[in-house]
Amino acid sequence: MTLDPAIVPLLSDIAGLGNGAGTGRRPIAGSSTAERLQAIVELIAGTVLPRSYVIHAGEAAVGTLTVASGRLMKIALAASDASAKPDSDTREAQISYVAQALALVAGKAGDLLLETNYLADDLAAEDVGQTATELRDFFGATNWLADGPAGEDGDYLTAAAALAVAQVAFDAEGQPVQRTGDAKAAPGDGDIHALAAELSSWQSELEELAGLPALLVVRDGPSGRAMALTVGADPAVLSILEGNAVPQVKSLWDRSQGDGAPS
Amino acid sequence: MSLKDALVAGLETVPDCEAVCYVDMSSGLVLGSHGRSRKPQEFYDRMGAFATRVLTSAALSNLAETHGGGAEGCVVIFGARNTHVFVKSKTFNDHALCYMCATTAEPDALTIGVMENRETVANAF
Repeated sequence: MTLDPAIVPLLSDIAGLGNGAGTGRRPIAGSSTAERLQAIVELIAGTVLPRSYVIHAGEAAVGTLTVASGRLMKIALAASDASAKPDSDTREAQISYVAQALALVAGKAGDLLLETNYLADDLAAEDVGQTATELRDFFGATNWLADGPAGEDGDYLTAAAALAVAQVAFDAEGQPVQRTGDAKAAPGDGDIHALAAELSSWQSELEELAGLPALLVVRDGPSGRAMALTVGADPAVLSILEGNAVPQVKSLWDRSQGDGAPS
Repeated sequence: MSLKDALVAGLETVPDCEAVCYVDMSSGLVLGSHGRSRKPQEFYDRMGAFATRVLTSAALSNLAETHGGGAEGCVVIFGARNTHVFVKSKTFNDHALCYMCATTAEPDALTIGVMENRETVANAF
Protein backbone atom coordinates (compact mmCIF):
# COMPACT_ATOMS: atom_id res chain seq x y z
CA MET A 1 0.00 0.00 0.00
CA THR A 2 1.36 3.44 -0.83
CA LEU A 3 0.44 6.73 0.77
CA ASP A 4 -0.94 9.58 -1.22
CA PRO A 5 2.02 12.06 -1.34
CA ALA A 6 -0.35 14.85 -0.32
CA ILE A 7 -0.89 13.29 3.08
CA VAL A 8 2.81 13.07 3.98
CA PRO A 9 3.22 16.74 4.97
CA LEU A 10 0.06 16.47 7.11
CA LEU A 11 1.40 13.43 8.93
CA SER A 12 4.69 15.21 9.38
CA ASP A 13 2.91 18.19 10.94
CA ILE A 14 1.05 15.92 13.33
CA ALA A 15 4.28 14.17 14.33
CA GLY A 16 5.90 17.52 14.96
CA LEU A 17 3.22 18.82 17.28
CA GLY A 18 5.65 18.61 20.14
CA ASN A 19 8.00 16.70 22.28
CA GLY A 20 5.02 15.45 24.13
CA ALA A 21 3.52 13.68 21.12
CA GLY A 22 1.97 10.43 22.27
CA THR A 23 1.53 11.69 25.82
CA GLY A 24 -1.32 14.07 25.00
CA ARG A 25 0.93 17.06 25.57
CA ARG A 26 1.43 19.99 23.27
CA PRO A 27 3.95 22.78 23.42
CA ILE A 28 3.17 26.21 24.84
CA ALA A 29 4.20 28.83 22.30
CA GLY A 30 7.01 31.24 23.02
CA SER A 31 10.55 31.13 24.27
CA SER A 32 10.50 34.11 26.64
CA THR A 33 8.56 34.42 29.88
CA ALA A 34 6.47 37.22 28.38
CA GLU A 35 5.53 35.21 25.29
CA ARG A 36 4.59 32.18 27.35
CA LEU A 37 2.57 34.28 29.77
CA GLN A 38 0.74 35.71 26.81
CA ALA A 39 0.01 32.19 25.52
CA ILE A 40 -1.22 31.00 28.92
CA VAL A 41 -3.49 34.01 29.36
CA GLU A 42 -4.91 33.43 25.88
CA LEU A 43 -5.47 29.78 26.79
CA ILE A 44 -7.46 30.90 29.84
CA ALA A 45 -9.42 33.39 27.75
CA GLY A 46 -10.36 30.68 25.26
CA THR A 47 -11.45 28.05 27.77
CA VAL A 48 -15.19 27.93 28.32
CA LEU A 49 -15.86 24.41 29.59
CA PRO A 50 -14.00 23.35 32.75
CA ARG A 51 -10.49 22.09 32.10
CA SER A 52 -7.48 21.18 34.15
CA TYR A 53 -4.22 22.13 32.45
CA VAL A 54 -1.05 20.51 33.69
CA ILE A 55 2.07 22.36 32.56
CA HIS A 56 5.29 20.38 32.27
CA ALA A 57 8.86 21.64 31.98
CA GLY A 58 10.59 18.59 30.54
CA GLU A 59 9.23 15.62 32.46
CA ALA A 60 8.36 17.55 35.61
CA ALA A 61 4.88 18.95 36.22
CA VAL A 62 5.44 22.54 37.31
CA GLY A 63 1.89 23.76 37.70
CA THR A 64 -1.78 22.83 37.38
CA LEU A 65 -4.38 25.37 36.30
CA THR A 66 -8.08 24.85 36.79
CA VAL A 67 -9.88 26.98 34.22
CA ALA A 68 -13.52 27.53 33.30
CA SER A 69 -15.61 30.26 31.68
CA GLY A 70 -12.53 32.24 30.68
CA ARG A 71 -11.40 32.37 34.32
CA LEU A 72 -8.45 30.91 36.14
CA MET A 73 -10.21 29.30 39.13
CA LYS A 74 -7.15 27.81 40.79
CA ILE A 75 -3.42 27.39 40.32
CA ALA A 76 -1.32 24.78 42.10
CA LEU A 77 2.45 24.84 41.80
CA ALA A 78 4.92 22.01 42.25
CA ALA A 79 5.85 21.60 45.92
CA SER A 80 9.33 23.08 45.38
CA ASP A 81 7.82 26.31 44.06
CA ALA A 82 4.79 26.60 46.30
CA SER A 83 4.80 29.77 48.35
CA ALA A 84 2.54 30.97 51.12
CA LYS A 85 -0.86 32.27 50.06
CA PRO A 86 -1.29 36.01 50.53
CA ASP A 87 -2.23 37.09 54.05
CA SER A 88 -4.70 39.54 52.66
CA ASP A 89 -8.00 38.56 51.00
CA THR A 90 -8.05 41.66 48.86
CA ARG A 91 -8.51 41.24 45.13
CA GLU A 92 -5.18 42.99 44.54
CA ALA A 93 -3.28 40.58 46.82
CA GLN A 94 -4.92 37.55 45.23
CA ILE A 95 -4.21 38.57 41.65
CA SER A 96 -0.64 39.48 42.55
CA TYR A 97 -0.17 35.99 44.01
CA VAL A 98 -1.74 34.29 40.99
CA ALA A 99 0.25 36.41 38.54
CA GLN A 100 3.46 35.62 40.35
CA ALA A 101 2.66 31.90 40.21
CA LEU A 102 1.86 32.08 36.48
CA ALA A 103 5.06 33.98 35.79
CA LEU A 104 7.02 31.40 37.75
CA VAL A 105 5.60 28.61 35.57
CA ALA A 106 6.12 30.60 32.36
CA GLY A 107 9.71 31.34 33.31
CA LYS A 108 10.79 27.70 33.66
CA ALA A 109 13.79 26.65 31.59
CA GLY A 110 13.30 24.45 28.54
CA ASP A 111 10.19 23.72 26.52
CA LEU A 112 6.85 23.94 28.28
CA LEU A 113 4.28 21.29 27.47
CA LEU A 114 0.57 21.44 28.14
CA GLU A 115 -1.56 18.46 29.12
CA THR A 116 -5.32 18.96 29.04
CA ASN A 117 -7.71 17.08 31.31
CA TYR A 118 -11.47 17.38 31.04
CA LEU A 119 -13.44 18.19 34.16
CA ALA A 120 -17.09 17.69 34.96
CA ASP A 121 -19.27 20.48 33.64
CA ASP A 122 -20.66 21.18 37.11
CA LEU A 123 -17.35 22.43 38.48
CA ALA A 124 -18.30 24.27 41.64
CA ALA A 125 -17.95 27.98 41.16
CA GLU A 126 -17.07 28.57 44.77
CA ASP A 127 -14.46 31.10 43.78
CA VAL A 128 -14.77 33.82 41.19
CA GLY A 129 -11.18 33.28 40.09
CA GLN A 130 -9.35 35.71 37.85
CA THR A 131 -10.54 36.54 34.36
CA ALA A 132 -8.10 36.60 31.48
CA THR A 133 -8.79 40.33 31.19
CA GLU A 134 -7.82 40.92 34.82
CA LEU A 135 -4.62 38.98 34.31
CA ARG A 136 -3.84 40.83 31.09
CA ASP A 137 -4.43 44.15 32.83
CA PHE A 138 -2.19 43.16 35.73
CA PHE A 139 0.65 42.00 33.53
CA GLY A 140 0.18 45.05 31.33
CA ALA A 141 0.36 47.39 34.33
CA THR A 142 3.56 45.74 35.50
CA ASN A 143 4.89 45.72 31.93
CA TRP A 144 5.34 41.93 31.83
CA LEU A 145 3.70 41.46 28.48
CA ALA A 146 5.28 44.43 26.77
CA ASP A 147 7.31 43.65 23.68
CA GLY A 148 10.16 45.98 24.44
CA PRO A 149 12.31 46.84 27.43
CA ALA A 150 10.75 48.64 30.36
CA GLY A 151 13.24 51.43 29.88
CA GLU A 152 13.09 53.31 33.15
CA ASP A 153 14.00 52.52 36.72
CA GLY A 154 10.55 53.75 37.65
CA ASP A 155 9.08 50.76 35.82
CA TYR A 156 11.22 48.40 37.86
CA LEU A 157 10.04 50.10 41.04
CA THR A 158 6.39 49.53 40.17
CA ALA A 159 6.77 46.06 38.73
CA ALA A 160 8.97 44.74 41.54
CA ALA A 161 6.50 46.10 44.11
CA ALA A 162 3.85 43.79 42.67
CA LEU A 163 6.08 40.79 43.38
CA ALA A 164 7.52 41.89 46.71
CA VAL A 165 6.21 41.06 50.15
CA ALA A 166 7.40 44.52 51.11
CA GLN A 167 9.43 47.17 49.35
CA VAL A 168 11.16 50.41 50.24
CA ALA A 169 12.56 52.92 47.76
CA PHE A 170 15.02 55.37 49.25
CA ASP A 171 17.25 58.23 48.19
CA ALA A 172 21.03 58.54 48.48
CA GLU A 173 20.70 59.90 52.03
CA GLY A 174 18.68 56.88 53.11
CA GLN A 175 15.39 58.75 53.22
CA PRO A 176 12.51 56.44 52.24
CA VAL A 177 10.57 57.90 49.31
CA GLN A 178 8.06 55.09 48.86
CA ARG A 179 6.91 52.14 50.94
CA THR A 180 4.66 49.36 49.62
CA GLY A 181 3.47 45.96 50.81
CA ASP A 182 3.38 44.48 54.28
CA ALA A 183 4.72 47.09 56.70
CA LYS A 184 5.61 44.38 59.25
CA ALA A 185 7.96 42.69 56.77
CA ALA A 186 9.71 45.91 55.80
CA PRO A 187 12.90 47.28 57.37
CA GLY A 188 12.67 50.39 59.53
CA ASP A 189 14.07 53.80 58.68
CA GLY A 190 17.20 53.24 60.80
CA ASP A 191 18.11 50.08 58.89
CA ILE A 192 17.54 51.82 55.57
CA HIS A 193 19.69 54.76 56.60
CA ALA A 194 22.56 52.45 57.62
CA LEU A 195 22.25 50.54 54.35
CA ALA A 196 22.33 53.72 52.26
CA ALA A 197 25.57 54.75 53.98
CA GLU A 198 27.14 51.37 53.13
CA LEU A 199 25.97 51.58 49.53
CA SER A 200 27.55 54.96 48.94
CA SER A 201 30.90 53.64 50.20
CA TRP A 202 30.73 50.62 47.83
CA GLN A 203 29.76 52.31 44.62
CA SER A 204 33.16 52.99 43.05
CA GLU A 205 34.48 49.50 43.86
CA LEU A 206 31.34 47.87 42.56
CA GLU A 207 31.48 49.95 39.39
CA GLU A 208 35.03 48.75 38.78
CA LEU A 209 34.26 45.13 39.60
CA ALA A 210 30.89 44.42 37.99
CA GLY A 211 29.53 47.63 36.48
CA LEU A 212 26.65 49.80 37.66
CA PRO A 213 23.76 49.88 38.05
CA ALA A 214 23.55 46.46 39.66
CA LEU A 215 21.00 44.27 41.36
CA LEU A 216 22.21 42.72 44.60
CA VAL A 217 20.34 39.67 45.87
CA VAL A 218 20.78 37.91 49.21
CA ARG A 219 19.31 34.41 49.39
CA ASP A 220 20.16 31.01 50.83
CA GLY A 221 18.41 28.92 48.18
CA PRO A 222 15.71 29.01 45.51
CA SER A 223 12.98 29.17 48.18
CA GLY A 224 12.60 31.01 51.47
CA ARG A 225 12.78 34.74 52.00
CA ALA A 226 15.22 36.75 49.93
CA MET A 227 16.20 40.36 49.52
CA ALA A 228 16.85 42.29 46.31
CA LEU A 229 18.54 45.68 46.30
CA THR A 230 19.32 47.97 43.39
CA VAL A 231 22.70 49.71 43.57
CA GLY A 232 23.53 52.76 41.52
CA ALA A 233 19.90 53.48 40.69
CA ASP A 234 17.99 56.51 41.94
CA PRO A 235 16.04 55.84 44.01
CA ALA A 236 17.56 52.64 45.37
CA VAL A 237 14.95 49.91 45.79
CA LEU A 238 15.01 47.27 48.51
CA SER A 239 12.51 44.45 47.94
CA ILE A 240 11.74 41.71 50.45
CA LEU A 241 10.72 38.68 48.41
CA GLU A 242 9.67 35.10 48.58
CA GLY A 243 12.73 33.32 47.18
CA ASN A 244 10.88 31.86 44.23
CA ALA A 245 10.16 35.39 42.96
CA VAL A 246 13.86 36.15 42.50
CA PRO A 247 14.06 34.97 38.85
CA GLN A 248 11.08 37.18 37.94
CA VAL A 249 12.56 40.17 39.72
CA LYS A 250 15.86 39.58 37.92
CA SER A 251 13.96 39.49 34.59
CA LEU A 252 12.26 42.77 35.46
CA TRP A 253 15.62 44.27 36.32
CA ASP A 254 17.14 43.13 33.01
CA ARG A 255 14.27 44.65 31.12
CA SER A 256 14.47 47.91 32.99
CA GLN A 257 18.11 48.06 31.94
CA GLY A 258 17.19 47.57 28.29
CA ASP A 259 18.24 43.96 27.91
CA GLY A 260 15.05 42.96 26.14
CA ALA A 261 12.28 40.62 27.20
CA PRO A 262 12.66 38.50 30.32
CA SER A 263 14.43 35.25 29.71
CA MET B 1 40.19 16.65 47.41
CA SER B 2 42.44 19.69 47.73
CA LEU B 3 41.20 23.29 47.91
CA LYS B 4 42.54 23.82 44.41
CA ASP B 5 40.58 20.84 43.06
CA ALA B 6 37.44 22.07 44.83
CA LEU B 7 37.82 25.50 43.22
CA VAL B 8 38.41 23.92 39.82
CA ALA B 9 35.20 21.94 40.37
CA GLY B 10 33.44 25.26 41.06
CA LEU B 11 34.03 26.35 37.48
CA GLU B 12 31.97 23.38 36.34
CA THR B 13 29.35 23.41 39.10
CA VAL B 14 28.52 27.11 38.97
CA PRO B 15 26.86 28.06 35.67
CA ASP B 16 28.79 30.40 33.37
CA CYS B 17 31.53 30.72 36.00
CA GLU B 18 34.73 32.30 34.72
CA ALA B 19 36.79 32.67 37.90
CA VAL B 20 36.61 31.60 41.51
CA CYS B 21 38.70 32.38 44.58
CA TYR B 22 38.80 31.58 48.28
CA VAL B 23 39.69 34.42 50.62
CA ASP B 24 40.56 34.76 54.30
CA MET B 25 38.51 37.85 55.19
CA SER B 26 40.38 38.51 58.45
CA SER B 27 43.78 38.91 56.74
CA GLY B 28 42.57 39.80 53.24
CA LEU B 29 44.69 37.00 51.75
CA VAL B 30 43.45 35.07 48.75
CA LEU B 31 44.20 31.46 49.71
CA GLY B 32 43.31 29.86 46.39
CA SER B 33 42.04 30.85 42.96
CA HIS B 34 41.26 29.45 39.56
CA GLY B 35 39.99 30.89 36.30
CA ARG B 36 39.07 29.72 32.83
CA SER B 37 41.64 32.18 31.54
CA ARG B 38 44.75 33.44 33.27
CA LYS B 39 44.05 36.45 35.47
CA PRO B 40 46.46 38.64 37.45
CA GLN B 41 46.62 38.23 41.23
CA GLU B 42 45.28 41.81 41.54
CA PHE B 43 42.02 40.65 39.98
CA TYR B 44 41.49 38.06 42.72
CA ASP B 45 42.71 40.47 45.42
CA ARG B 46 40.14 43.04 44.32
CA MET B 47 37.34 40.48 44.20
CA GLY B 48 38.29 39.13 47.64
CA ALA B 49 38.48 42.64 49.11
CA PHE B 50 35.04 43.56 47.84
CA ALA B 51 33.57 40.25 49.02
CA THR B 52 34.96 41.02 52.47
CA ARG B 53 33.30 44.44 52.48
CA VAL B 54 29.95 43.02 51.46
CA LEU B 55 29.95 39.92 53.67
CA THR B 56 31.10 41.85 56.75
CA SER B 57 28.69 44.72 56.21
CA ALA B 58 26.71 45.08 59.42
CA ALA B 59 23.89 46.92 57.67
CA LEU B 60 23.45 44.24 55.01
CA SER B 61 23.80 41.23 57.32
CA ASN B 62 21.34 42.69 59.84
CA LEU B 63 18.78 43.18 57.11
CA ALA B 64 19.40 39.72 55.62
CA GLU B 65 19.07 38.03 58.98
CA THR B 66 15.90 39.86 59.93
CA HIS B 67 14.09 40.32 56.64
CA GLY B 68 15.34 37.93 53.96
CA GLY B 69 18.31 35.94 52.76
CA GLY B 70 19.52 34.59 56.08
CA ALA B 71 22.84 34.88 57.88
CA GLU B 72 24.41 32.16 55.71
CA GLY B 73 22.89 33.35 52.45
CA CYS B 74 24.91 34.08 49.38
CA VAL B 75 25.16 37.57 47.97
CA VAL B 76 24.63 37.68 44.22
CA ILE B 77 25.47 40.88 42.38
CA PHE B 78 24.05 41.11 38.88
CA GLY B 79 26.22 43.88 37.49
CA ALA B 80 26.14 45.60 34.13
CA ARG B 81 29.23 43.70 32.92
CA ASN B 82 29.25 40.47 34.93
CA THR B 83 27.74 38.64 37.86
CA HIS B 84 29.52 38.05 41.16
CA VAL B 85 28.54 35.69 43.96
CA PHE B 86 29.99 35.84 47.46
CA VAL B 87 29.30 33.34 50.21
CA LYS B 88 30.88 32.60 53.55
CA SER B 89 32.73 29.30 53.90
CA LYS B 90 30.77 26.57 55.60
CA THR B 91 33.82 25.54 57.63
CA PHE B 92 35.38 28.86 58.64
CA ASN B 93 33.17 31.88 59.23
CA ASP B 94 35.91 34.34 58.30
CA HIS B 95 36.65 32.67 54.97
CA ALA B 96 34.64 33.30 51.83
CA LEU B 97 34.17 32.00 48.32
CA CYS B 98 33.94 34.45 45.44
CA TYR B 99 32.73 33.65 41.93
CA MET B 100 32.71 35.76 38.81
CA CYS B 101 30.21 34.60 36.19
CA ALA B 102 28.81 35.83 32.91
CA THR B 103 25.65 37.94 32.99
CA THR B 104 23.78 35.05 31.36
CA ALA B 105 23.81 32.99 34.59
CA GLU B 106 20.27 32.33 35.85
CA PRO B 107 19.54 33.16 39.51
CA ASP B 108 18.28 29.74 40.62
CA ALA B 109 20.94 27.71 38.85
CA LEU B 110 23.57 30.10 40.17
CA THR B 111 22.43 29.79 43.79
CA ILE B 112 22.18 26.01 43.61
CA GLY B 113 25.59 25.71 41.93
CA VAL B 114 27.29 27.97 44.47
CA MET B 115 25.76 26.16 47.44
CA GLU B 116 26.90 22.84 45.96
CA ASN B 117 30.45 24.06 45.41
CA ARG B 118 30.49 25.57 48.91
CA GLU B 119 29.84 22.05 50.20
CA THR B 120 32.64 20.66 48.01
CA VAL B 121 35.05 23.25 49.36
CA ALA B 122 34.00 22.48 52.94
CA ASN B 123 34.87 18.82 52.33
CA ALA B 124 38.33 19.85 51.15
CA PHE B 125 39.31 20.84 54.70
